[in-house]
Amino acid sequence: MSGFLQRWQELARASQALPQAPLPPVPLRHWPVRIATRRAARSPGERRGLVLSALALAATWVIAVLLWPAVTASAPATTTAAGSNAPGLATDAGPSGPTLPRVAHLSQVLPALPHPAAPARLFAQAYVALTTSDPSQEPHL
Amino acid sequence: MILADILLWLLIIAGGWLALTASWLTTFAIAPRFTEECQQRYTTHGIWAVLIGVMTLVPLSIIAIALFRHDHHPLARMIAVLILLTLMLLALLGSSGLAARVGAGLGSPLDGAQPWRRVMRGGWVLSASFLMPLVGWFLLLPLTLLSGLGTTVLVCWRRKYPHAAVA
Repeated sequence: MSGFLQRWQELARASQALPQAPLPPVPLRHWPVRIATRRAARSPGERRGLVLSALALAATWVIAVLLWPAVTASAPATTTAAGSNAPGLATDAGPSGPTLPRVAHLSQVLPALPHPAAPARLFAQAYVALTTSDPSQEPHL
Repeated sequence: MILADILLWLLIIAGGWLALTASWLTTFAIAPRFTEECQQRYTTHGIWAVLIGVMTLVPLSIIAIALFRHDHHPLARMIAVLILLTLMLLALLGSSGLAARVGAGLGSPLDGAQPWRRVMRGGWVLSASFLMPLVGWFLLLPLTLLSGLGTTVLVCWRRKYPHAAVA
């Protein structure tokens, strides 16, 4: 019995003498903590990249919003000698010809947006075209 | 609906199916590390990929369409078409990560020796899911391409601005 105890004590001493490895970090699962940790770990270059990317994206959106009336216009703008263009949109006529359409108010743009049911109508037309047997009744897509 | 119509739609579907899978496989064959990074992004930043895809695609598409419709110079129109084709190409490149992700979920013992099988298997399954009426056409396919574009942007951004070492 004493031999067993002695052996047990030796093992306990030997295990304490082993180098204690640090415990692995506990992963932080909550998103505010994760975002804060990630933000704190960002390098200056990474921060600069984020700012530059955000600025570039914002500039692209501004250009796109300015050009949106040109997308929804029913006909391409053709400038006349007097500087006015096709009906629907007013433009700033520059000295070198037609320029970007000018939007005075949002209400000018909103009616030009595509109808929300346009995809459903397209699908219905495709469905009718696929299922009808009479070629004369097929709508043109 | 005559036989020619059936053949037309069948060949369009088969061609699209093959083209999608082939483009994903080509991406993996040329840039396997890019595909793996995209796969990782899909695992960790799936929602962000879709949001960034939307935020990138919408303004650039508007600019391209406006350029095409209102500038009749051939060079301007070529640039507009190039913008749209580049967006489509980037979306296809990035969505190879989703194909790899789906393929990784359908694991096979052969994947270790032939990792491209993962992309092919995932590509087949993913592009088959696009055939589902309405959900596949108007939800899965656009979401896949949008997230592909977003993933490409995320991966390229991360390559340009690598992550700082976390202490």
